[in-house]
Amino acid sequence: MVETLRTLRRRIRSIENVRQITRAMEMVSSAKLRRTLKILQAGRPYASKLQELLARLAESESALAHPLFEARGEAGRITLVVFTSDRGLCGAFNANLVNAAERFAVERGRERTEMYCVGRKGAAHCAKRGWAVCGTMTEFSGNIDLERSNRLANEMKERFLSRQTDEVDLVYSEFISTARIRPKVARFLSLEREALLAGSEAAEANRRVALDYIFEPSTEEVFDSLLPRYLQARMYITFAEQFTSEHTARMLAMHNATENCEELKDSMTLRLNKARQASITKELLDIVGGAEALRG
Amino acid sequence: MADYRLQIITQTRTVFDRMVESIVAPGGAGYLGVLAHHAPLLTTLGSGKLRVRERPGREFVFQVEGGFLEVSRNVATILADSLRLLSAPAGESIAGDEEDQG
Repeated sequence: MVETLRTLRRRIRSIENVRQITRAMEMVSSAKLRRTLKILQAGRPYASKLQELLARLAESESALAHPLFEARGEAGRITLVVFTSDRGLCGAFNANLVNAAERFAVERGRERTEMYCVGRKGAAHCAKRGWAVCGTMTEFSGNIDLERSNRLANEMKERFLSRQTDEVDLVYSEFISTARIRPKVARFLSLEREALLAGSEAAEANRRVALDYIFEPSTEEVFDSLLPRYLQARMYITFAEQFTSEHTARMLAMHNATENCEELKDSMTLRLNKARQASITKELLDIVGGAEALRG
Repeated sequence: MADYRLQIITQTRTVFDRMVESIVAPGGAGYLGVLAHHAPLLTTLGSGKLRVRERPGREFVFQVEGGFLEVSRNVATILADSLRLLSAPAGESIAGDEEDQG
């Protein structure tokens, strides 16, 4: 009996320690979430302005002739950029992303899909499952890295232009709110005119405005320099959403873990108290019994 | 002379958003000045000094490396690849200088 009391006490203590750790991790994630969310919001004006400018130009004919707009049909090779986190302890976050990626790849044809893994968890998964991997990018320690995001955007552009791939898609976690994140598959290249127009004002108005614009040095040159920057801006927003989602997921996972610890601790404490009561009762009975025997 | 709104945005944040009197920017085809009620314009930017004049006669100077300048409906927007504040009127400061993430 004494032994169980001691083990129960020990278990309660260790649960309490775990609870402190998960609680601390929840706080850390919520601080990181706040920071990445600020970065995400600060980066949006640039991306949306670029898209607005591009939408105005996308109506012109030279736009459609641009190599980045070349749709190469359904049979081409696909590069799938899979965003996951470097670290775990974030619930089903990575599993959801990897599942979305695999579902997409299987649907479009496994043999013509190559993965590009951003984040350690995805890289480990792809290696284990034997996916063709054309590149990895890891060790972000939860921070959005502008330089690496731009480099990735350029690398994908080069791959597309040099015909190493015919299509580039992104699988990342879309950040809707701190209560809602979900995996999303989005086309990165080739560019689609409809997608560019979708986010901005009505196409008709754009065409009218485009006619009145003065372009310097020329429409083509402006367009040529807008496109790579648009790709970079898009990649950057994707990174920002991904990392904001990661911290959200981890914060929720750690919040749940903390609650579970508390629940477990309560039930352990109850058992401990019962066991203690039982042992006290037993001792009393022994004493009373002994006294009775002596008197008798 | 009227004022118009100028926004200067980089990939990571909005650096400047105020009413200004005039700007002189290093366009892809040479320096150009923009006053209020300018015709709609979209130009690339080269590298050089961007001068922003604010009433009354106060001037900001930035070093710009590439980007775009767009003017429409009396709003000018500069999307800069890289931007550095060189000088600002006395008593003015523009929160943080470039790349303050992390």
